Amino acid sequence: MDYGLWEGMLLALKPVTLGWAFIGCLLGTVVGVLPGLGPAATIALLLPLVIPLDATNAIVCICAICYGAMYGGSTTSILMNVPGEASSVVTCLDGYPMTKKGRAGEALAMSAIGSFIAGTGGVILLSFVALPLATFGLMFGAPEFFGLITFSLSAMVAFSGRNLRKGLATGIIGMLLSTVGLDPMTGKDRFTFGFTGLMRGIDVIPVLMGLFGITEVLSSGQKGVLQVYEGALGHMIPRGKELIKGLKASLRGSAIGLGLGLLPGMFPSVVSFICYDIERKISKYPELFGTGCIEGVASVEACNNAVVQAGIIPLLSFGIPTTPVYAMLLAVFTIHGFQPGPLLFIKNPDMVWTIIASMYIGNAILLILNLPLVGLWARFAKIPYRYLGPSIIGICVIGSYSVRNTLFDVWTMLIFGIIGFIMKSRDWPVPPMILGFILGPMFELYLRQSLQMSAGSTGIFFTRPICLAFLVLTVAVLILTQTIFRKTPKQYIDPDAL
Amino acid sequence: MSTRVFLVEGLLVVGLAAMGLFEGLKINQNESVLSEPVGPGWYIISLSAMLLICGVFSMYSWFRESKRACKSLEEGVKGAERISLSHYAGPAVIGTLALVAYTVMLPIVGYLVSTMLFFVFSLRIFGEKPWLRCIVIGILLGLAFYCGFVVLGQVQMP
Repeated sequence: MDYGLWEGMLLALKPVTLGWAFIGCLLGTVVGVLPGLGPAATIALLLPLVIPLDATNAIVCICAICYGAMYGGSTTSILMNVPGEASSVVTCLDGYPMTKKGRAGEALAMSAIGSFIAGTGGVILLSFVALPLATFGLMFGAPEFFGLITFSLSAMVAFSGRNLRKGLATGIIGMLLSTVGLDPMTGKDRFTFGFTGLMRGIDVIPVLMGLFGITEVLSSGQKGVLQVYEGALGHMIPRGKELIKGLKASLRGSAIGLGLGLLPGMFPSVVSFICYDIERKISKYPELFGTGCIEGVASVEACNNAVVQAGIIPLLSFGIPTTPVYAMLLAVFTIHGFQPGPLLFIKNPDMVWTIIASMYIGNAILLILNLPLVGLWARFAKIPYRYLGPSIIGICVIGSYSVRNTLFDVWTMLIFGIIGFIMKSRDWPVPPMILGFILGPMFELYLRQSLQMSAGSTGIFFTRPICLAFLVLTVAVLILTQTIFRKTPKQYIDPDAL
Repeated sequence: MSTRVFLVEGLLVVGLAAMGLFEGLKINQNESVLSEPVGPGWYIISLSAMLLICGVFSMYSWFRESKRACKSLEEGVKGAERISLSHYAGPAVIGTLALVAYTVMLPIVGYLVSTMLFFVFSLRIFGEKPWLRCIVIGILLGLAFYCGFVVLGQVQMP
């Protein structure tokens, strides 16, 4: 049977899959509302619960958490001037001023509408671009995949923020950590120091639990309760010219987010700042930005969601993640025995199109669900951290132990939690380590296979045109991201962002 | 104080790199090289060499910065930075010790009891005031986790 978006939509509307998309949207929104607990940490915490599911439902749920979190983060940005996620920082600039003017309802509605527009645009792009890219990917051999992984690893540089040396060092450490265990080609042990527990390698889930969950709790223990906005929300839907301005800004934000979101390392907080800057520069009234301008909310929120949607294209088409969240999605695919990339479209088209269709449905769920419940979401932010923190640790312990039913993984989680806390305290970025750890095995495999093909000559990477093109793109992206970061204010470059 | 912290960081990175180089050389010496043109340990050696370069560059730049900071202090310049680690201690250290104790207790007293005890103490660490409240909420939370994950979720715990 030939599969396409329509068939995927029918599969995504099955009660079980729809249910998991709904749960993912709910969880994502709740998490997005809670400051300090980002989508990456949430996905890390929920991985052990999602993994026993069918692969398709697991991916659908995790994707829903991602864009649900984007919307949830904007709620606290608009109502409390506290960004729920790193990517929602820019929303505070005009969202909260709109609230102070009694236009919170319009800001929240425009945020939801903008996100929906971006989601729709993303799915359309995905539908048209993903399969041709995957077909192109069928021409790839080991050198081409090596070039592609190198392109993806260039995100390590982006995730270093302004501290390139530290980011590269942590990324390389992540790659070295991925070599612990048995050599994939010779079967000999590496970095085991005689411990049988290390011969199985370091599992990705305890590492993620430690670096995201435990680190977050150890760093955030001093948080108190936030004040929830108790005032009137005003009109829930913008009217007349305001609605038209918001819709146009959403379209522009979607375009920017979809374009830049395809590149490795373009995390939402930076892209949304670029979008806000462009919106202000092209506006007829730039002086109104920062005082409660609807374009400032609509374009940024659309851009955030668009970046998330765009990021899944390289993952599904080539199997390369552009952010640590997609690196975790890759880990979920791998754990279920699937390798995202060109062959996934051929061998499992039903899974791919179901995931694509569910992203559209999930955005629709968010639009219908979240506006009436915005007051409820805002109240989640009132949960004192003294209850949330221990609960997160409890989930991390269960999650780590349940992977292989061994305390070794719990100790691994604890050690990485302490390492992550020290790294965060000393301003060493964590995402490059995650990226290096997850992509390291693939990088090593394709590198060694390529060198075996060429009898040790590195010329193979420069004589194969596709590989050379990816290496050139890597250099170009490195230059582009560093140029962008130099122009972006420091507070928007969060190395621990999504 | 600041120089020492930076020096420790740099030495850690260099130490990790040295460990990697040693492991890579050990693999290359022990393994047959027939399977690969340059030996199976070279990948680790290459990564470790890059890490060593990062570490050495970092130590050099941090050393330069700390000399500048020390010179500013000597000249009495306002705003010269002293980095103190004391604000990292406190709740984080206590929290870490609680986590270590929890992990040690897990196989000894079982999941339910160790989790309840952990929640009681961690609530206190996070600022819950009366001990009675910590005990009641800790026990209830532990029971909720046990029922939710172990009983209903069928997750195997010690």
